[in-house]
Amino acid sequence: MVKRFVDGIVRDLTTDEQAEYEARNKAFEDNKAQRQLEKIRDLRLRLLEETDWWVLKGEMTDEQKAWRKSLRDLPQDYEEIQYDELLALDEQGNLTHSIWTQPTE
Amino acid sequence: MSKSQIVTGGIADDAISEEHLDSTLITGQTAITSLADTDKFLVSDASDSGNLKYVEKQYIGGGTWVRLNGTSATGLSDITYDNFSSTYQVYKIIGSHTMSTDNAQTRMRVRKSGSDQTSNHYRWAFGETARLIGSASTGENSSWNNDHVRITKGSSYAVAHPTGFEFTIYSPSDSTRQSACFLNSFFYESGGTNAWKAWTGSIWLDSTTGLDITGIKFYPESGTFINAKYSIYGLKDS
Repeated sequence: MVKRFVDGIVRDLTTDEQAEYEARNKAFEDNKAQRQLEKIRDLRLRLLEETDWWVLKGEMTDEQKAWRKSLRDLPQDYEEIQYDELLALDEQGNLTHSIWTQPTE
Repeated sequence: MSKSQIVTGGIADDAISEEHLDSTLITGQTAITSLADTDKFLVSDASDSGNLKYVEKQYIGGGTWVRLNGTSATGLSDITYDNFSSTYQVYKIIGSHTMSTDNAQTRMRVRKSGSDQTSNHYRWAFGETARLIGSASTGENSSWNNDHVRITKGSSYAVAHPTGFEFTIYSPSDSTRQSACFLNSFFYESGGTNAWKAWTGSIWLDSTTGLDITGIKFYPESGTFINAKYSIYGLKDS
């Protein structure tokens, strides 16, 4: 049973509060794709920033150029139904999708 | 000097000195665990020949943080304090919990007269420091005219993973100047990002949302707070 804490007292939810609580949970589920997309964008930004020095150095391989382009194009190249696959982890918590793997320097 | 009997005519003024007092004079009394402002302490007044007087708790010491309330509970849809008043100009909430739903945010809204303030008047700017297994990064998290404030972003629901924060709100009871807040939070962001993160920043409660605030509510984006340990303090000026 879900409870509230208000000013030192733990109590049951009222009917209205229960409805608000359930609406909150539903909104979270409904917002799953948007939440995943935000994480995908965060991951993409981090990898692009980590390899900006390749661009500054001016000696990128074709493979490196293609990989950075695939990261930039990531949101439009993947559908919502592929977000789970993009964010899949192995048992050690590492992302498993090949797009997150940097080409060798 | 030891006395074996009360002298004829009764006890003279100032005749009972410390050697006649048993320590149970204090330890034999009923203990209390909180103090009211008008509770009294016995003192020797240095400015009046050491005569015994009392001082009330409200006059002891200078400004200090006073713990007003707290909880240690689990399975909570929210943690709400509706106890802001003009007695304290600044309030600090220190909290830690685990999420019941993986990757859900911890959020905050202020309250007035027992109601959440849900207008789009919450603005924040946080700096973010993140550490992953093999690298570190810095960034920001911010918003303008949202209907709530983020305290964390998608933290882990593993029972061993800590999520916590220190939150300071300034002059919530002010009727003229809008209130603002400082936040320091830490959390392990799950769901693919998998980074240990720290947020440090400020919150501006714009428009009437930032005036005459009487309370505050912390709640998960989804599910409940597990193993929540929260305390709220008020800053006493004197």
